[in-house]
Amino acid sequence: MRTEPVIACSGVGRAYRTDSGEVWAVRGVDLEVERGSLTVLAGPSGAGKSTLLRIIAALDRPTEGSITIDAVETGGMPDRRRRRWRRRNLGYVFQDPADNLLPYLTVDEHLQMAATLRGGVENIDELARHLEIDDLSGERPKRLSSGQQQRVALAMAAVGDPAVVVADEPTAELDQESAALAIHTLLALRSAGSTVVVASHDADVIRTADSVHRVEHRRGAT
Amino acid sequence: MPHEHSDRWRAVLSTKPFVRAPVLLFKSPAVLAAIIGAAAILGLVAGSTPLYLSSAESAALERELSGRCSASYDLQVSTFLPALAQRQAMTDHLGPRLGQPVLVAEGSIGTATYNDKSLPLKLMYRTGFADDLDVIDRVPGEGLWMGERLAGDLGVAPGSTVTVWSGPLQAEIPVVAVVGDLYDQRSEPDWCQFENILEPTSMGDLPTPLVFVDLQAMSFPQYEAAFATYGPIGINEQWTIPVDIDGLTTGEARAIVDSIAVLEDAYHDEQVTFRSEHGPDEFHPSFAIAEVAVHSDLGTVVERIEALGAALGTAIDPLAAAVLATALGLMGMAGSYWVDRRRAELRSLAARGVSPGQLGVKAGLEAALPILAGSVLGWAAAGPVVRMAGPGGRIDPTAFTAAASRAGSAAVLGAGIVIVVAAVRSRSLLRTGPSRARAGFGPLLPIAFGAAAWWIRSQIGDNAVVREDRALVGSIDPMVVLYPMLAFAAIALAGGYALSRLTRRARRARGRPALYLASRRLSSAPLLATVLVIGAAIPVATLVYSATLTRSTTSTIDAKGRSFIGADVSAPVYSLDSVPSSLAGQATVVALIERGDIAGQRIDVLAIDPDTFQGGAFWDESFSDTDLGELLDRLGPLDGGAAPALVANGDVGDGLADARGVEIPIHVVGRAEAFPGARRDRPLIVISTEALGQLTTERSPNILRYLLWASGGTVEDVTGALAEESIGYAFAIPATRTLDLLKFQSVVWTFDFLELYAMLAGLIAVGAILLYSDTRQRARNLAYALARRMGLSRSDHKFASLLETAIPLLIGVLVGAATALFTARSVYLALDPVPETPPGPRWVPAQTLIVVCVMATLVLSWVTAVISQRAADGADTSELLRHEN
Repeated sequence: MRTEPVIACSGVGRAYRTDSGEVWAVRGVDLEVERGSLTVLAGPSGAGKSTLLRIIAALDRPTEGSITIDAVETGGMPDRRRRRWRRRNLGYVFQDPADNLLPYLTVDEHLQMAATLRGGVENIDELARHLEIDDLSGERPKRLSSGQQQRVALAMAAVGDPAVVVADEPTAELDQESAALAIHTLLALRSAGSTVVVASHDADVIRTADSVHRVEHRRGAT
Repeated sequence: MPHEHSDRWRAVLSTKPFVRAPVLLFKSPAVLAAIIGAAAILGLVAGSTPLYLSSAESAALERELSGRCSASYDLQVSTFLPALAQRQAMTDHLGPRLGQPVLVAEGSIGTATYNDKSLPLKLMYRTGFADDLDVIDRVPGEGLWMGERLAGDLGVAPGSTVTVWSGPLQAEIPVVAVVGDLYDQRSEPDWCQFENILEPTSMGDLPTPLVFVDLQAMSFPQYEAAFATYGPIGINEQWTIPVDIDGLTTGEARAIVDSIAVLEDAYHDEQVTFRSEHGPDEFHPSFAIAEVAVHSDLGTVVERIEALGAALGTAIDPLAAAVLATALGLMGMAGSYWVDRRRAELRSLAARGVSPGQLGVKAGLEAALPILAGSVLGWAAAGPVVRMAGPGGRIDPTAFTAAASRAGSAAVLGAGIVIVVAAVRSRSLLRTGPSRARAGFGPLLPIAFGAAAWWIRSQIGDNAVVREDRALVGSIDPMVVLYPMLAFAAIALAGGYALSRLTRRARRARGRPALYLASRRLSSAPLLATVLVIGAAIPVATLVYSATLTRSTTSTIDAKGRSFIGADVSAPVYSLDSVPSSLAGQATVVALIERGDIAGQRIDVLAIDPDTFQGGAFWDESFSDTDLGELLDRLGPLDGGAAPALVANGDVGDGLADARGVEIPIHVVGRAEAFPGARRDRPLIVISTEALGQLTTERSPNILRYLLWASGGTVEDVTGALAEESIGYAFAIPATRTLDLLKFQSVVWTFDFLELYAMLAGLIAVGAILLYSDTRQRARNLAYALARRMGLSRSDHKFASLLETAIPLLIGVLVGAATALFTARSVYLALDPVPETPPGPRWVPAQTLIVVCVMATLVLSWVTAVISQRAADGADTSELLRHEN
């Protein structure tokens, strides 16, 4: 029996108003993401992957269409409610590893903070062990490699078993070895039952995905 | 729900970014410096007002008291006990700033005889008199201290014994000292209380000499016996408690005034106690238990000063509020700067669901200690700033407490502003996508401000100095301050609007890379260009406006004083031949006959020496269309039986003037709107002293005063010159003392305060520009990196940054200065503090200040360019390019 998708987009589009008129960053997206899967949004630069990802991550609202995440319609939520919902149910990872971490907190403190913001979560040590970052617990970001930073960011996003973990180009800023570590972490999250959605044009990431959705410029995802 | 809400807040605030927030800024020196700097300016602005008011009151108090004889403000106490007992009783109750009691005993006129010569004298005693007399010769012992003139006339020397008569009684009293006469010292602080008995008679004769009696401290019986020895001459006793006015504040003066009633009660109790403890032999029957009276003019002075403070406060409070609001705006900018510098961290927290309000609280927690430190610094700097740029009076210590309270309140407000701005800015942290260029604004806003300014100006009457009939002080119509502010806003906005239009045309500019880059940057941010124009125009305009009106009003008051008394210094003398040789060319003597009559009209008659008048008297071009020299040439001896006459301040024709008993036929040969010495309510007829002499050979006017008018010197210069040549005079008064200047001091100080706050507003603008230039450059670092790769040199970039800042700032400075001069010129005629006294208001523009503002602007632009270049050079180019890729 087919389970309900955890993410369902129908006709999703996002437009911006500029001096020269309305610009559609993405339009007409129909998309479903299965629970516990690793899904990749692929496509050329400027196709609208990041825009779509931000809508999925409840960081932005669609201009048209609807989006449902874990049976909750997030597209029409007011900002304050969307923010609260995001805090409990979504984890987001920025492309630049340094953007995810605070320079004055240790790895352990980052995870504690993420757990508190999620609403109080226990067993973060278990998550750290599962993602193989438990040996970094006392380190500050500047002592970590880019790959290690990204793994910590992914761990923070996954604290408290959110409905979805969203990552925007998680390997774009990384060297090959660090990228491999990040991909390994993505797979570990999936194996732990997390639903992971990633925007990427990294062939290695695409290769490991359960499903790949191509986002074309103004033509939606296929 | 509220429970859940508070739980959420508690959870967020318990995370490490919030718990550590109070110390995080110490790792961000630039942001720390920005917030401390903004808070310091805020504390300085908030704390300055009460200190300025206190300084103004103290300065006014000092000015009011310093020209007076101390007898007018010292505490005069009625005699209520024998001398020694009273001195002790008063000493026991002395409060702060009250000195040791002084007794003055003045006898009636007696006669001294020596070797068949008899001359009148008046016996005197004053506590400590011996220290203040110029001793010429002295022998030990008790006795008479006799003035040099009387001693010479009697032929006595120290050691001689004279017979002192008073009525039927006589006594033999030794002369123990010959001292310098006091006639020339009657205006000095040590002897001014005796001025009325040291002043020459109306005929110029010297008064009865004062002879001091050397009384040691003694009991009442000895005291009475000592004076009885000299005869039952009437003794007038007066006790004085000196008030130390050096650095006296209004608060201290008020405390002294308030203590008078307490002193009276205390002295009355002393009286009762003494009476119960001493027998009738020791307590003279004349000392009956009575109310003790303590008098002083200090209360009246304090009342006037406090009225001045209230009037000044009413004028400057709105100004202070406006500048405080601007300083709070700077705090908002500092909050915005914090968001810009912590963008990555804030985005990370926002992405995890931390709300904008919670991020605002984080900003507040981080900024709390720096704001506190900055506020303390600002409050501490307020005192030196006010001392340096304020009215110059001592600041009451209690004013610092009020200043701390204001600075503290402002700091709390500032922290609130930081929180709100950070929260508002945080709302857009996660937004992406193309943004619209923020446009400038249309012409409607400057037109609206301009119309409002024009209307306000029309509401200002012919005289904007408000003087109610019974008011202790004058005050300024608030419209005089509101009108230019609206005009400055209108012109500044218009200037910014014009620049924003011009910069669009500048996009087509070609030329050197620096000019190209600067023009592109200005045209891409028209709102920024407008803000820079406004940021420069308004403080400069306010500064130039207030400085111009301060100088103009001060100059006007000074000129009116000199017109009122006729010259820089005026001294009543006793003959026309009273110009000391050392003052030749700088002084003249006039003869004044007041309240004469011609054809039923009250007039004054002034006889002058045309040869010396121009050198000694004050003259202003506005007095007459005709040159003074030409007017003076028309005066001379009688012509056809009539005196050639100038008529000032009235419409009087040829006729017969009654000059208080002498008829003066006049023939009008010239007219003037005003003349030195003329009074508001009656015309002045000016003739030559030669003509007056011809008419008064047989009879002199009943009331004729000779006045020495001197220019270019001080009172001391004039009295010294007169004394050196033994030319008699009654007193000398400077022009600054003739008008009731205190009444209009609040007017001058209102503009002085505006000047101070304009400088503080300029400081705010400088802080804002520096903050913004750093932020702006960091946002442009990528563009700079790319431009450098395409061949832009560092020097061209630096020069472009200089142009980008200097052009709008200089436009603002010049527009502001021009507007200030225009608005000041349109209103200065209404700022006549004494309209009944000529000349009219003077115009003294602050031209040097404008030059200083231009130079300061160029320096600021250069500093901004250096900061921008440093920020650009500090960016990691490869990292920037990698991000872009």
